[in-house]
Amino acid sequence: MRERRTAYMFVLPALILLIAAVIFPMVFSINVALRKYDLRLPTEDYPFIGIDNFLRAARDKYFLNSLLITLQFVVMGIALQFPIGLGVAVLLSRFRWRRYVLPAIAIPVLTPPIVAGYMGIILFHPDGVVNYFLSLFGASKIPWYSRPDTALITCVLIDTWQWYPFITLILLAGILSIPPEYIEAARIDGASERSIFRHVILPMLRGVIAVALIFRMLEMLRVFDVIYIVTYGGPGTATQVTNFYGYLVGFHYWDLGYAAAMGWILVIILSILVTYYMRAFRVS
Amino acid sequence: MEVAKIILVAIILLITLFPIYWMIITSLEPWELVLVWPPAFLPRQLTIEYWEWAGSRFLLPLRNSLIIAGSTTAISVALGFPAAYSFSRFRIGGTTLPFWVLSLRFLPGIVPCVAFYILFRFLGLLDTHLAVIIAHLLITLPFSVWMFKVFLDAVPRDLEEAALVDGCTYSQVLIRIILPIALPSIAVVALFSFTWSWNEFMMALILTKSQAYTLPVMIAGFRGAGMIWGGVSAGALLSLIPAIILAIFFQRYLVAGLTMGAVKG
Amino acid sequence: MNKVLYIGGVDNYLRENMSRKIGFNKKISRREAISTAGKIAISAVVAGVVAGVGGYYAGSAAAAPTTVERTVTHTVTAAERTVTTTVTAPGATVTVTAPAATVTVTKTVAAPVAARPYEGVKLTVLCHTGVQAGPWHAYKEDIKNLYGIDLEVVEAPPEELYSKGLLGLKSKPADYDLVQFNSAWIGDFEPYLQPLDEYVQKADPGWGDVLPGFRLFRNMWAGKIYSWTLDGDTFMFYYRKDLFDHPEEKEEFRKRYGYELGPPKTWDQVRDIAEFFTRKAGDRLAGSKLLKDFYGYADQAKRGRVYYWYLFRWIPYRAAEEGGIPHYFDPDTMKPLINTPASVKALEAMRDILKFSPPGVLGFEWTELFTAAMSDSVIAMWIHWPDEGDRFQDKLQPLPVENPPKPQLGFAPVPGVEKDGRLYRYTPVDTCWELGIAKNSKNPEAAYAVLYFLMRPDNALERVMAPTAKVPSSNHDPYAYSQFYSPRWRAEKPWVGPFLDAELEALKNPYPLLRIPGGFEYLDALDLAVSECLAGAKDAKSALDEAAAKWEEITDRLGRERQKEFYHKMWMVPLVF
Repeated sequence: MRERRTAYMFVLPALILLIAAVIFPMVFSINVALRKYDLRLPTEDYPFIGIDNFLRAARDKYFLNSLLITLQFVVMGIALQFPIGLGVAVLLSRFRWRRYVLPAIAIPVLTPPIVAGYMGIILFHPDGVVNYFLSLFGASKIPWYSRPDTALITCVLIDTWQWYPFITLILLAGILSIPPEYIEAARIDGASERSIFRHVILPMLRGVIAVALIFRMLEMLRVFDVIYIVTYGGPGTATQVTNFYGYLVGFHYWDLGYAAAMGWILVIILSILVTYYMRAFRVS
Repeated sequence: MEVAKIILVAIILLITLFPIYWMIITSLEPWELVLVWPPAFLPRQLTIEYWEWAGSRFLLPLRNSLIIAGSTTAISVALGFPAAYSFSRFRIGGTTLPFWVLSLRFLPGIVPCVAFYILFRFLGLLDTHLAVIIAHLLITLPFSVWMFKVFLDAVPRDLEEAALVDGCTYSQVLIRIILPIALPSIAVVALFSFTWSWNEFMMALILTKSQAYTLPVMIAGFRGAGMIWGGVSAGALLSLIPAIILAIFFQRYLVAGLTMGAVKG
Repeated sequence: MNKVLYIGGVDNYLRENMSRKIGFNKKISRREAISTAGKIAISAVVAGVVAGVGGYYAGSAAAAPTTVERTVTHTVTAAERTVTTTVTAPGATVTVTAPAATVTVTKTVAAPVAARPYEGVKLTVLCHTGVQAGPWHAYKEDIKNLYGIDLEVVEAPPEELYSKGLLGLKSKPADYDLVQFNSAWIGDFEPYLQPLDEYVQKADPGWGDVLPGFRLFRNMWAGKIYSWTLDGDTFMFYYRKDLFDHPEEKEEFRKRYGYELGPPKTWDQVRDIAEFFTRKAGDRLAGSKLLKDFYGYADQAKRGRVYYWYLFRWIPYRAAEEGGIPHYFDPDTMKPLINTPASVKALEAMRDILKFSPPGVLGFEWTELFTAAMSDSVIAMWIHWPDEGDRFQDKLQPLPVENPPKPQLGFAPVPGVEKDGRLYRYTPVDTCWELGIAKNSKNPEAAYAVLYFLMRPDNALERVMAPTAKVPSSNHDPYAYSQFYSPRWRAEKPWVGPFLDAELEALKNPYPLLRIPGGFEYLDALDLAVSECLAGAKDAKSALDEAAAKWEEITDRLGRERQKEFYHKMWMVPLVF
């Protein structure tokens, strides 16, 4: 069938690259996860141990704790970034001079994450600007990332600064691609701005919102740089998210097999969640 | 109403850009004074040593970053778009293959790093642009395919069907009809691919030595006692400048794409 | 590693796993499966082509001129000798009355170039990024002139030096000929490092000059020389001498605590002094009013680093408990000794002193502690690497009071613990940074020549004295007697003399940090326990018990007998059968 052939032709270049760039590491990592792949060990044979690494992860309370911390991070992050991102997108959609604002808004996204982390340290330092502003209102200085109960929130705030513009940009693209006739029609019918928003814009944005949310969620599950720079997983394990724990295990304890197994557990959990999520959000 | 909007936007800009302002201040202040209380909104002592240090070192990584991020973006879009069209229209691989391919991102970064190190070392490609580009495509290509697919799924098929009936080939349909409609998604994918590749640190570090290293590797290299705040800030600002120029350029594209999409109806 | 076999293995995996992969997706028909498999085969061929093209690309990329601005390249010019020869113009006509003209011709004759021993050799060094790479860039040209060696300098951040170094060293030929590494990793790096004994016998840059603490506990491993000290990192106790010397404070302290105020010898004294000096803004300090809150003592208590500061207490507390050398493990059974009663007491003391530290102390990394102590001047005592003393003394700011005395920095060895009239006091020798040569290097002799050049007393002195005219930056600390007693250093920077004396004195009692395979993992487990305890998440005993349990698990995983062998190598204690 001509259709099939064209289809394959379209896919082929991408597929070749996908194999080189994606399949090989994927297969490699599965291989690694099933072995005692400890690069420190002098012998070149990495014994096959089946699912031992996976069982170890299931028993490892630091791993389980890291899943919880990661979940907290994601929930707090979304709760902050989504409303802010949406609000700013709506505001900008009605702002005449948005073309001048957009590059400025994009700057946090263009900043390397470790730099955002360093700025976070400086700004949230007990002697930093954030506490300075607090002191102007008479509040006492907070050791933001040195206290177990506030450390994670601090990381969330830094991440929010960096990524809310991404949500804004995607949602703005979505808002602006709604055919203006729909909005005009609603306005002519006498609907208020608020109900236009709720009943015209929001439903048409469902697909875009889903994409933005899923994407941001997935990225936050992989958070690393901010934690690495600002708290290094601490104090204690207050900010030890899964990707950071995997980094310690894989990069510093050199237990690649275990790190890969933890990664794959995360992948499995995520794919279940996302499949469910995408079904719930299906745009017909 | 207008005034209220302007004020709101101004506040948002202020908060968003304040850390950048602080970066500028920090890059001009001696490192040992950066964390002294109370914080200084203007540098207490001016020093340009960090800018000298960063400025003398950033041309090579700048060139590398531009090549790598640019190529990664171009390839992700050029290959991902048709592939997503196939996935979307012809249901190749069903609905889960694209996602599985996406899932690789969740492995702790070390695992694909070692995989690529072994592969590229064998191929003699360490410390080359190509190696880093392929490693970056690991993340950006699946994302592009998935993102494009989601957008394309939402595009109704009537236009294509009409064109096909009229005897157009799929390539013509793709380029003439679908592409203009999908411009906003292309802009988004390009933005994401570019910024992700531009900022990626770990693979760039592992796969390069002294020729192909990128800006984030350079910036991370400024860590270390005595260099940390000023050096990192100056390095980051230097790497932001080309990124901002590109963003301004891109932004025109984004706006053009959006107006075209609106006209479509 | 047999590369051919390995890549074959990957192909097998691809074929084996393709079917498994396809199994996930029930929608693909058999026909599609076959066509997909066919596409894989095509892709393998294409990938090969891509690799070939990529190889070509790699070649041209490597050949592309770089625009690194740091080094100024100039070609080595052979020595020029000016030869003046007087040539009489040939003239046959004798009848010419004009005198024969004398022409001076300057002819440049190239003097024979002294044969450079390693002409054309290309070497790569992996080193710490930033200021620490200073010496390499400073000496690159000299190395070229003297030896003919082209040195490629590859920098990496400190944490990544481990992974990049290990990956590079394992390759054949090694990606790096010289590596800067942390000697705590020697257990993991040993198989890939070249022992240096024979080279040192032929050309010795000053083995006996290196202080015993560094020689024995860093450069040597299992009785052989495996590396040379680049950076003599150790730890010193710093205090505000301007504060301690103040008569009013001395008087007050003596009244309250019954002994003279001075640099503390024991940790109990540290606590007393810390308590004494922790005051709020508005109180009196050093004779006038305090403008900021002031704190008696501070650690670098951030997760990831805090284990050092715990060890500073653990070592003397345990030594007092043992009445001698405090072991990390029982040498016979490899049972971890980090949760003994004295260990628990040490951690409790550490947590207790937190109330005399600034509120952000649990987030203090190097820069934060330095800034709080030297620039903000709100700390009375702290322990840190030698940088404050040998490089940054001029950055000390006056005390934050209305009429501050002239700022002065005091130094002392790390405090100990007193028991039964005996003072147990050690100075921990940090394990970084060392320079080693790769066993798989394509030219280890040339690599050693570079090492020799860098470690020669004159160059080494230049390095640790940096910033100097020759070496603008290095952050390397002294490690050899010729450096500590250097007349030039003490003359050029008069303030460094007292510090060097204090450090020499402190290093008379060196103590090694853990250096066996998995060293980082052990120390990280300890670090986590300490961090959790200080954060209030666990009490000292359960935190350390957990760390000890983890240590056991690590030992078992890496092989108990093997770890015991390494632990003995670390102490050079013969293995008892």
